[in-house]
Amino acid sequence: MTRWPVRIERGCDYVGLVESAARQVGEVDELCGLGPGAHVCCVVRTSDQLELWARRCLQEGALAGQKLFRVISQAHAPAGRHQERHVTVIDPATLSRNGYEPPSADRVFAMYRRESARAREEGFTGMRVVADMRWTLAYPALRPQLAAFELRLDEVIAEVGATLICVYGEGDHAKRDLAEVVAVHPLTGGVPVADAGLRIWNLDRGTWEIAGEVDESNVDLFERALSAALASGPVRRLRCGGLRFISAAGVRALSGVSQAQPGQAVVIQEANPMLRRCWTIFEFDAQLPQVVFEPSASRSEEVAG
Amino acid sequence: MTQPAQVRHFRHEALLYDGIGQFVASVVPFIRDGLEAQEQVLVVVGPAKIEALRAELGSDAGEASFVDMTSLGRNPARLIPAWRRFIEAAPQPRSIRGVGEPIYPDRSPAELVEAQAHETLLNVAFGDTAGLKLWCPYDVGVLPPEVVAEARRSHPIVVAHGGSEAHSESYVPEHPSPARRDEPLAPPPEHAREFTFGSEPGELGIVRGIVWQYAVRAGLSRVCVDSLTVAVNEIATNSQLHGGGRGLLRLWTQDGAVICEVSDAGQIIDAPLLGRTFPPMHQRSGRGLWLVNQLCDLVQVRSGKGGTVIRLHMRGDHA
Repeated sequence: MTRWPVRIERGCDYVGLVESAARQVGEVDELCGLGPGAHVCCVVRTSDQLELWARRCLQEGALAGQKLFRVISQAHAPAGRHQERHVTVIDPATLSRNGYEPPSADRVFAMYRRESARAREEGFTGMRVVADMRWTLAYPALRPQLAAFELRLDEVIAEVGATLICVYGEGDHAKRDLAEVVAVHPLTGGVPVADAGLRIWNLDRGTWEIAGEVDESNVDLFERALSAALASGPVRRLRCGGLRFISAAGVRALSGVSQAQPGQAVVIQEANPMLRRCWTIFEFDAQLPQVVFEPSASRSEEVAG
Repeated sequence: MTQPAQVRHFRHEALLYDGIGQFVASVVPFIRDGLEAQEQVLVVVGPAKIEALRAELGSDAGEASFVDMTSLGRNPARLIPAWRRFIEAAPQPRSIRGVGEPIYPDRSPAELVEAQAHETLLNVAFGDTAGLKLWCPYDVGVLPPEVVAEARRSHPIVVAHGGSEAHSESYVPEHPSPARRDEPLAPPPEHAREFTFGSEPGELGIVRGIVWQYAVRAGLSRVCVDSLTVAVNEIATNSQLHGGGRGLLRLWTQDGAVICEVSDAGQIIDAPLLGRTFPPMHQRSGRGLWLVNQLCDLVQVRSGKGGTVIRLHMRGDHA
């Protein structure tokens, strides 16, 4: 775990500490080697593939002392399959307020917090969940919100230290939708899908990491993801060390989302010089004092110190 | 305190002088008159002339603002926004006296044409602005006669050394700028590298990669490489969105500058101040050309029924 003091130079008086737990980021093979806080987007080609990998993944969780869960809708539960021992099955429909509306994000997040706490009370090291995301297909209205939902869920998973594998069927979702949900998971596994060119994930409470490139092809995703990431909390931090490129539309999206969160400070860390320059050229620094660029050099010194 | 007498209309005047001596002898009284009338004074000329004016003005120099034309006006498209900022910051009733020399002998042929376009666009940008009197000095001793003739076409009033003013008989109110949109650019050299791009995901990334590598190999500084990459991305994005979904990128070097040209099938219609108007905060689109003008040393826009060509110039000497 690394800790560094965050100094906000203007815009608000907040001075605090960010604790950054190292999260697993990148590609995983066959859902193995996953630790607490791992949040994987796994795209599978067949149900058999899903079942094989899910079994292995849950076995690994059992060996790690985690309480095991499967999230799967009744419609997609394999016919005639006996429930695995020691695996708790959650039907997402049970999280719906009235049985026909999609489960609200807040109810889903509450479930992860509640079950994670319960697992620890029962002596487990945490919870491991394989979620068959085909349940979302029953709610077309959920589709445009899926990436934002996954991104906020990522913060919950990081917070409770759960291990979550979200499994999407390659043929069940549009390629663009798959690319978007992959982009909001820190870990990816399974069948390779189209790359959105952008990745955003939760680093720690209130801190988000952005990597890749933002241009016309993914600026809508970027804006929606930012809106989800900046949705709550008095201070939000965006670490942009891996953001190699951002277009004018991306800079505008960043300003627009920041402006839409009144009273909330946004701290941008490790911004590349061009993001900083474009921000100044558009005079957002004068118009949005709540957005603070943290000098990279001083942060490095503080980490080193 | 007496309020300054406001000039009723925008006065755009060409000052014709010969050599630094006449320049100082003409401009210093112009500045002093403005300061005595409690006008806001902004002078945008080359560094040697700023030094000469400051020396002659002595302690009065502190009352006026001086900006280096070779820096601010390197890309002439940045000048109108700068004047507009100065005007908007001036106290009411507004009374402003300005000196701007965008045309000087060191300008390349391409820069000269764009600087001449800037002179014409000043009439469009500030035609309705009361309280602004702007002198544009032209050194007739070193500038070609055709450049001076063009100054007479773009300025309604010509001031001779000594201060005598005369209406320019050559002035054309609806002046067709020498950099008008339908005026073709010189063709790219044969050795220019060419790449076509479309609207598939990832194609902008390929365009950026090509520009970045070319600019690095051409020896541009890191700042210039990144600026040019951002700028070309904006223009290529416009091709995707408004230019028929595809474009042609050409790159070459010329006189120490990297030049990137993007052409497409779109047409820019009747927007003379495009890229010279600051995009307000709430504006979702239309930021690209503004940004490009701030990042590049020169931007040439030509558009007609046959399509649009935008040529970006970047020299490698930015810090």
